[in-house]
Amino acid sequence: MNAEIVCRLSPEEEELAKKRNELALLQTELAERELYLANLRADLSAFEGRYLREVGVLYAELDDWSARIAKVVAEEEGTVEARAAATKARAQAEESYSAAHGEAARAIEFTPSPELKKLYRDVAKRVHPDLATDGADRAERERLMAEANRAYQQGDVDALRRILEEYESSPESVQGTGVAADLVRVIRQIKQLQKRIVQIELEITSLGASDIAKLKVKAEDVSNQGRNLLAEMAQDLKRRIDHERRRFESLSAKERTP
Amino acid sequence: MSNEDEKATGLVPSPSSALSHVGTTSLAQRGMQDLIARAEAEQWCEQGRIFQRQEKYVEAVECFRRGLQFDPNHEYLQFLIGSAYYQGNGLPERDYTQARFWLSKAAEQGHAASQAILGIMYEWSFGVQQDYAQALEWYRKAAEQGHPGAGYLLGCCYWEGRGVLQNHEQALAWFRKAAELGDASAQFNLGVMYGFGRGVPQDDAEAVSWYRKAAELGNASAQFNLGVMYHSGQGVPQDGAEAVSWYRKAAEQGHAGAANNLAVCYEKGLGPQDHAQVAE
Repeated sequence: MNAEIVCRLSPEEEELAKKRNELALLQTELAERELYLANLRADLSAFEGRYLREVGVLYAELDDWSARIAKVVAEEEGTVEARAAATKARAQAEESYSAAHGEAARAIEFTPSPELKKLYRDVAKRVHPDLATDGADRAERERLMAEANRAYQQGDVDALRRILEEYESSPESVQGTGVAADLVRVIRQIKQLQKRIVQIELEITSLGASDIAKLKVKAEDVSNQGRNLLAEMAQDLKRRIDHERRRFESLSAKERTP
Repeated sequence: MSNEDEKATGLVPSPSSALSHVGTTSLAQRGMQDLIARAEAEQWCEQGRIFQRQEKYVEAVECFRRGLQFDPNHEYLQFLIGSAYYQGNGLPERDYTQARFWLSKAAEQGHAASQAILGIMYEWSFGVQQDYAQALEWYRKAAEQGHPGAGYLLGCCYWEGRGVLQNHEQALAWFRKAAELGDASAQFNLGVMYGFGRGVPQDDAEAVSWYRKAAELGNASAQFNLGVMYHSGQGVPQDGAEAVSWYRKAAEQGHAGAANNLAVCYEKGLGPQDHAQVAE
């Protein structure tokens, strides 16, 4: 039949085709893992927001009472140690306050739509900075990827679509300058993606080992028993706050009556 | 180059708040530590309760102590160790100072049974200056939470005007509340109030119904009074066998009046003929 016009590939070309195939598989896998990581982060952030709003604020309040008590004690005793303890307690109270009322406390529940997930996967697959071939390319990809992350967290489908369009129309995505150069570039991309996949696994592991993740697992466990972990923690803290407040009140009453 | 690579891969995606906020991390860590400590305390508490049921009081107290090291705010553990000191169970001797120390902690956190015991300590001056006003306040706190025994004790304070102006209406209200929650002493008192028309219109049927509740819970005085009601046919149809059966229950608990009446009944031929038992 058309045997004569079959285009025979040179060994370099064959190798390049194989590597391109490998790269494409890796791109898909990486996009999946990036999506998984992004969702894990979003879930943890949402839980963290709830934790800070329901429990964290109470730690801040508890620390505030402890700092007030330390201050009264320092004034009464007047020793260097007591004053240092009061300063330390106040610093702790302020740290807890800003942590409990900061940016992280505003995170809300995140449920990405299938469309949003698909778009994010597409962006990660094509735009990923680890596909960059030079410094300028990488900078551009990093900018786009950061925007994509933001858009994903905000559930902004249009923004994700725009990022994809912007990337596809950019000159950086045009390829080719000879088989040998292509091969070098593809091999380098493969290495970068493999490295990133390993790194994602490490990040997933370390996120899972974080205290907020442990709290989340615990909360889910007890919620299966019909209990509310955060409410229980809040109740316990309210008691401790009451206790500290009473201690403060009795200490300041003693101060007033010599 | 490799250095640059590492830096670059670290940039994407954007960092999460879950790991980057130092303060937040420490708040989550505290939450986790507190949870672990409380679970640990809970385990010691349970183990201590098991020892208590096995009457191994020394071991039980040791468990309560360990539990409190993990969670010094654990109100039930505070109550348990406080009651151990109050009763002298598992300790070289009763120690009212330590009892008051621990029970106050639990009571201030709102633990009703601790509040009730603390009230008793103030009323009867166990290891503390007698203070009826304090006793009344702790009874009230516990009773308002629905602690039946405290309701009864609070009723007694009102009835006798201890730590408060005498007020039979208030006494009645608290006795009734405690009685409805199943406190046998309060049920007995209500029975007496109805039976003798004290603070309420006299009503034998009502008296019998409260005596019966208390008697069924094993209150010897109520068993005796119920026996009397059956014996004399007040508020119930006269029934010698019933009277004997309730006298006997009270007498078995050492109620002298019941033993006496039981003997009288047998002499008159009421009830089964087992004199030998009665004579004892």
